[in-house]
Amino acid sequence: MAVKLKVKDLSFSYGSANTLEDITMELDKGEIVSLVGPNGAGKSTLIKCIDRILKPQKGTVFVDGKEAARLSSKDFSKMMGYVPQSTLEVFPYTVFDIVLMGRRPHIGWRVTSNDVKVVARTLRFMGIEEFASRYFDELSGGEKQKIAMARALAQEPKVLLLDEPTSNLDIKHQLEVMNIVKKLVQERKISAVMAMHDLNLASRFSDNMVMLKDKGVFTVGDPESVLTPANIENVYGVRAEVRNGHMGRPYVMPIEPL
Amino acid sequence: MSDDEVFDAEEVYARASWKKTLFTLVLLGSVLAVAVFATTMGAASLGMGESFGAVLAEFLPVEEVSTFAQVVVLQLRLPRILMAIITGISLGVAGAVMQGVLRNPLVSPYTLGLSSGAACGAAIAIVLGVGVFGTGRYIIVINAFFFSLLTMAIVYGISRMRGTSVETLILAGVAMGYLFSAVISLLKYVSGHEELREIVFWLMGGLYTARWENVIILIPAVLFFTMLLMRYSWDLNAMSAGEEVASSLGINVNRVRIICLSLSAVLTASVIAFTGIIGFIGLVSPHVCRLLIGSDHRYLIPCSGLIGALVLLVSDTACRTMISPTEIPVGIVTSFIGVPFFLYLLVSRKRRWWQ
Amino acid sequence: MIKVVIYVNKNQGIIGVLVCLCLLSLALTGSGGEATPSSDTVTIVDYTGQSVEVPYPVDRVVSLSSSASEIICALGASDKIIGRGSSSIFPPYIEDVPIVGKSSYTPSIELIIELDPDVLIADTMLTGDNREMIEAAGIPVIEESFVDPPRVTSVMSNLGLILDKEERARELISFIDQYQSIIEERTADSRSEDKPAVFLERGQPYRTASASTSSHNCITTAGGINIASGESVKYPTVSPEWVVEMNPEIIVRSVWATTGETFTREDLKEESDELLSRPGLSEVKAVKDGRVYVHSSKINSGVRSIVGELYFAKWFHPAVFEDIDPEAVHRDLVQEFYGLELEGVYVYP
Ligand SMILES: Nc1ncnc2c1ncn2[C@@H]1O[C@H](COP(=O)(O)OP(=O)(O)O)[C@@H](O)[C@H]1O
Ligand SMILES: [Mg+2]
Repeated sequence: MAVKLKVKDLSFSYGSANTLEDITMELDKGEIVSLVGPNGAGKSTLIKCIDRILKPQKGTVFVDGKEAARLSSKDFSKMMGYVPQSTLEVFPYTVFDIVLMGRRPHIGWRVTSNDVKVVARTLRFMGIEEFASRYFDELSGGEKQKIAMARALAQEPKVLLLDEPTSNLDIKHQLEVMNIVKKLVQERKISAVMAMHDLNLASRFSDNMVMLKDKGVFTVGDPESVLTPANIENVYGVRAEVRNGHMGRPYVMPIEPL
Repeated sequence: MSDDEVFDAEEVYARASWKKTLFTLVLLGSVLAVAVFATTMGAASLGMGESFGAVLAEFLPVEEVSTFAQVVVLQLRLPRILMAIITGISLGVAGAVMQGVLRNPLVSPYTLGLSSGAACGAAIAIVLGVGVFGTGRYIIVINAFFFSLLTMAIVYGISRMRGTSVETLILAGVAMGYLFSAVISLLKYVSGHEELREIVFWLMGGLYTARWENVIILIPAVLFFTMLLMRYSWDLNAMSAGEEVASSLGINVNRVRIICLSLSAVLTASVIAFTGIIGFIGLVSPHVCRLLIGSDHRYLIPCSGLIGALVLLVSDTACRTMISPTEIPVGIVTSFIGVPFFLYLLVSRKRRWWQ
Repeated sequence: MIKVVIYVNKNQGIIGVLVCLCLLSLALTGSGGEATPSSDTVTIVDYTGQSVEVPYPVDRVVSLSSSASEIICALGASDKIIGRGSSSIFPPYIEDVPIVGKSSYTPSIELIIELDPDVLIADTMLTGDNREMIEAAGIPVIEESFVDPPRVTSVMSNLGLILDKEERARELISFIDQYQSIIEERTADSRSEDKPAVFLERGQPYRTASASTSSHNCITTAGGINIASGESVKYPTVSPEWVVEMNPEIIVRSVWATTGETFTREDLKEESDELLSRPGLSEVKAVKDGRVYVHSSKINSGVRSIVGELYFAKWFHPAVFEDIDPEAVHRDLVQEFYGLELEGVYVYP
């Protein structure tokens, strides 16, 4: 059963001034939502607020109708998986060990055979089973990104939060990663929130988009309604043409900065 | 779905786990073997038979052993061997945990200022305590212990002011270390010639103060704290991927950090208060382990402790016997034995994870 | 008129203490009788073999060495000390003298030059650079060693000479010599099997002293055998089990005292108790026989080292030295040469 995620009147500040102000958004089950907006708009911050990594000063997050702040951190972490923008391991861990960390919310001290099975299955699902006994730091950026996703998947979450999952990847890996997200959402009936820089990838793979500007939500809707030349000019300060792209999704051609 | 493939990854994992378990057991066996061997080594000329006889006679009413052998083996060698083992365990475990919790391979009780804090406490007791309060033997121990914990508290407090960033914490530790070193230098400078020697001696560290009374208290304490810290293995594993990931895995990062740092500080403080500063082991044992078995803290913590015990026990036995009856300060021997071993591991392994 | 004094020292060979009481004005004017003090100088040869010319008599002295300070005060010239190293703390009234550095190793050159003494006395920790700098400022420097008793005797007479306290110096030397000869004579006839094996501990547990140290000489002179004499490290820390195996008949523990305060009986008893409680030592002969002695390091250096020597001799050979009361000698010494009453406790039991 997929879970509905709801963010209501969320405000957050790192120090004095607010970074996010009165953010409200909703996410239906089995849906992929992209957060877009210029650098510093607060996409990463919003994702962290949703995942309770940061504590919003105001507002509430509901998962499956339950108030997130009231759940125990263990129960909450069984619902939300987080894939950071980049992962840096200081110490040597094997890929299997890293993905096994995703089982942390589910296990005590001992690893059960079920945990090992889940990890093995996840590795296979991601197509990285052959790396199981390799060390993390020996892998390429694309492979690392998949492993970070595998760790979040091993949590068996209801909602997956991804922070710019395709930045730093080549086009093949970009597509692979996005296809995995899509497949996950369809097969496992989970929902995904992704912060995205690449408007065209976002357009192609998300059901809905949330466009952030000036600490708040500028507009919400399906890609066609969000990705208009007017919106892009307003939010990014860039003159752009929007064409019809793959499978009828809008395709953004940036022309020049204003 | 091919179940075969799933089983494959499982088997790889099972084999890796078994290897690590085996490694832990081999280490444990080596520590015990060296310990047994060390009971026959020393400045007093005792045969191997006599040495074992003295130990056996404690349990079995079989052999007649000379009082001399009994005194040397039971009262002098055994407590010292045990002291070496538990000190090594403490420093190795504390080093592994501190590095893990702060995600920094250069962290050790030394870099966080704990050792300098303890040394400063000891120096204050040595310079200001002796002659005023008598011998100052326990004053030194107690001062060292509390100064060490005080350092941890100050360092943590400072980092708290800046939102508990790991960098601030480490830098605050390094800074406090320098401050305490300056205090020690000052005390050395103003104190008399002989007190200075005593401070220098304490700074070099040594296990010569080992006594059953201390060992008996330290063994359960060290084992207890080690077990407590091992409970945080998973959290430490997760924290190595960064605070954000750890926190999304349901870990209260700040809580785990303060608990682990406090426990390791207590662990370190309780041994170095007796032994003086023994550097190197806390820093290097975890690295040796990571090079050999990786970073999974479920294995890393006990193995790092055992490596620490092994290195310290071998070093101390060497220091007791190399130019006996003169004893060489154990810190010197530890570095002479440990550094080449560590450097060998560094260059013989092709992986360069520390970059 | 030229006066030459030569001391013979068995370790140093001939140390010529060449004293040129060159009464220049006298020689020039040819008029006998009184000499104007300002134009008088004396030349002595210090431990390093350098001839040092100082005004005669010296009026203003800076002493960086605690032993030198003790000697100068014993000669009744404490009023001539205008600067001291901070380790000079005996006799207690010397603490009123301004400090011009910590020891000979770390003098404050500025303060010394500012005080502009007639002479500076230091021990061998003085560095060559510092000596040159002080000398360049026109201050004569006497560098001395205070380890060997014969050398200390010659330092006493040198200082007596330059301070114009020769008579007093002779008294001090004979006071010390008198007891030194008693010890030498009486221990000379004791056969080596009568000499007890001694373990001497200095400060830190199990740190002892090998041959070629003053502690070792002290044991040997007092008729004991230092069990650690053969060690290659000068002040080694030895294995407890080795001490148990060597089974010394006597254990002496020196407790280091570096402040002006004296120990109480409780302080020293605590030291003794700590030693006796150490694992393994209960099996050692010294402990079984109750021959474990603790003493303050104050009676091991400077003018008072003869007191330590007497205690050692009496502990090692109680029957031979039955008539000697080191405490009484100690009392006499501080009374006669420092005008002080003996305070504090120096040995236990
Ligand atoms: N740790 C932090 N402390 C203070 N300010 C921060 C921190 N992280 C981000 N910010 C600020 O918050 C704003 C939003 O940042 P972020 O959420 O990373 O934006 P985006 O991910 O959309 O590029 C930026 O102005 C940034 O400077
Ligand atoms: Mg971002």
